[in-house]
Amino acid sequence: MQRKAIKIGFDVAQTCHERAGCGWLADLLVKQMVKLAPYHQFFLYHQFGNWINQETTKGTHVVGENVSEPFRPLSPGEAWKVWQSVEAGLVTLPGAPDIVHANCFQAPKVGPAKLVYTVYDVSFWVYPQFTTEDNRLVCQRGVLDAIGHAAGFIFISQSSRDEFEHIFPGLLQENSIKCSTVLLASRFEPAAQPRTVIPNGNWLGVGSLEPRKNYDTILNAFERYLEESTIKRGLTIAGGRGWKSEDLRARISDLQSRGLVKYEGYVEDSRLNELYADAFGLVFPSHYEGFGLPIVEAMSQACPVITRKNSSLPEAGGSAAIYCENDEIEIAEAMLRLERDESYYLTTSRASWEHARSLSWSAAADKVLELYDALMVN
Amino acid sequence: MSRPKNANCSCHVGVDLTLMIPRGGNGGIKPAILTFLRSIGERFQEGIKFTLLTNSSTYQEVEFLVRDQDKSICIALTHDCPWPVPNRTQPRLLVCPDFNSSMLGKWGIEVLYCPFGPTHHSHPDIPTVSMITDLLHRDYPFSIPENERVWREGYFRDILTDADYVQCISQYTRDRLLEYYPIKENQVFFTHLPIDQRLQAGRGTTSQRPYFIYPANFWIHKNHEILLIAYRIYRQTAKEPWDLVLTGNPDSRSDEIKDLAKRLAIDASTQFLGHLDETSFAQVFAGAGALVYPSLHEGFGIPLVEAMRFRKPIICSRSTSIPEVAAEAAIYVDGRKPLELAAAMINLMENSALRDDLVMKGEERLKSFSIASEIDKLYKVFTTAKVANSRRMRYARFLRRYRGWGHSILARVTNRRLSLH
Repeated sequence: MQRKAIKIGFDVAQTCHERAGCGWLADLLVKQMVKLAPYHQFFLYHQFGNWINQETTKGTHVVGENVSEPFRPLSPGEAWKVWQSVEAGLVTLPGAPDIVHANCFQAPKVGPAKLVYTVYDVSFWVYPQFTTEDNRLVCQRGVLDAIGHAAGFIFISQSSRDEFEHIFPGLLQENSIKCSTVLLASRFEPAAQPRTVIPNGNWLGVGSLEPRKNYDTILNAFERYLEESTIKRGLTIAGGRGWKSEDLRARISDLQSRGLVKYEGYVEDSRLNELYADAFGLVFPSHYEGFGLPIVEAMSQACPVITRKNSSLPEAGGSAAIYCENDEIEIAEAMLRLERDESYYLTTSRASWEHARSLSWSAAADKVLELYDALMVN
Repeated sequence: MSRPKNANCSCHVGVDLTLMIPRGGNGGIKPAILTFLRSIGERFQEGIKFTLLTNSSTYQEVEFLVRDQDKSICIALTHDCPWPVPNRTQPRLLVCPDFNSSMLGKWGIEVLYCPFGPTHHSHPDIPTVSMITDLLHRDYPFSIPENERVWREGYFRDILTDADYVQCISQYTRDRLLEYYPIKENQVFFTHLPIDQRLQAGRGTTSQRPYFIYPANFWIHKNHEILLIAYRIYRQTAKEPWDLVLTGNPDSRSDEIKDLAKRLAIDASTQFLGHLDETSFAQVFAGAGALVYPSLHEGFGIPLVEAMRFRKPIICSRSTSIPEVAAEAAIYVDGRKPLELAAAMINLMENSALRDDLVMKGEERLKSFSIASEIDKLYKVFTTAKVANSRRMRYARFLRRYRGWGHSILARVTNRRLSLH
């Protein structure tokens, strides 16, 4: 079926910063969509709603006949004025889009266009202790605005969607908001093949140092593992300083001084790719994830993953991940089993690699394009 | 109420009411201040003399406080209201357009009381007592705009410079003040605000279905968003759900919350009554089934004692001063969690034994509050400040202020120089 050409304004404001998961989603999604749908017009918005960047040079850049980047030449002040005028209904957005897709927790008024809003998760309503108060207010504001303004919602996992429906029972139907659940995929080219020999690498922990990532359990399990293991692999940690992490950082630097832990801080994605490729296994007992991208990315490098069964983690890990309770003994045992049982390790590596390959950004992009089409029908 | 012992020790207190806003703009603190002033006048009679320093938009609202020995002097123009015209029927109402703080001494004022916190009218010769209601700008800075945060920071600095004593409205606020600012412990005291008795606790219209009531201005920390989300969950779960009644000063935030109620399709069962006078407010409170109080930040929490007085069960959040006031007499929730709040509302509505138990505990709790003993604390501070106002104190106050001026003059000169370059 010939698809109707759509003009799409796509929010890439968050890609202009040190990218967290949300920035990456916007970046990879739009790159795939541009490829998959050459008949649509894409306008990349490097400034979005109240999210005004001082600098946009690091932001997503796509070359193509069907792509333009109208906010690039504007100063932050000019961009802010444009959005103010759009919100006031005085002008339409650059490119007069049919659809505007928000990815950075903002749900501004977008004139006659239909707004699509990406919901990463609603954990701030369920586990507010895992977020900062300013962040909680921003996220809350965004989702509540979206309930008024958005015609379509993208959820990045079924669990996020279920949680949303739990908090707003029946609301999506009542407001005839169209929805799609789009699972994320790895940013990295998958390894050529699953592992055939046991690697020498370290254990790996990924994620910024904040309470939600549960580094305490990682370190407890790691210390317990060290007591039992004959090989005694180290632990590499990649992740920014986060927040509420003073005690944790002290503990990490203590372990680091004893040569047991290597803390790399926030790493660029090329380095992250290397870390996954070299790691013996990822330990990821997070308390809550909107999707759990590190799981899929480690698996794409055929790296086995030990994780938990909460929130979206089972969706990301599929049948390939090793699931534990939030229990350092159980996690340490899983670590030791991977280390001691060669065939178990290799089977897990293969299953992980295959699972990661089943998820792709083009599949994700396809689902988003389908939602756009559905919104244009009526 | 028995007459206190020290009632003969007369004290002339100037009360700076120039920051009072018409209607509900000040929130719950305004009725609290007025009730305190009235009660202190009634309790100490000739033991206290007031000179109320008022503004042109609210001087009429405090007329009822002016007894024979008191005066009300309008010293500030606000909200585009003209100066009042003195007349024979109001002999104790004066107007002083060119007020300056040296007049306090000439009028015989011995202590300046600033219940709204900051003041522009203090004088080094006169001891100053200021009230602080909360430390929102430090505890919860994201909930106010940056310019207001900076403004609050500035007036806290001024209070620390000007005030000899600081009155807080809960142990919690007192502790926060001492934690955040370099002020001596013996300069800070707290009085609770059990001002529930000002409302006549008549019977509500019993024919009506009960409803949840949340009296609060639409400030971000009052957390109306979570309440509406929770209320929607509650409505979809409960068999015969109660309505939700919101009172509070209408402003742009209340419009946003109304709009949210519409988007959540609960607008038909959510009533926005705006700011109510005391009589209507008492009626509305009396008809309620329960108080729901999800506020994330309070200095005291007046509606909690009001609910106890009206024999209403309470659901509230476990934050800041709220547990200090409600103690055992409430169901506590994490106010940031809509599912938890909704569950508490359902539980309370469906369980009459629980409601009865909470009401009973509320009655018990209310007995531990007494406005007379709170007023005695305040009066004692007035008299102490008066007696302790030695030459040394005046000089110290003068230095504190002079240093402040020195800094500001220096800053002005430096700025001017900088701008010349």
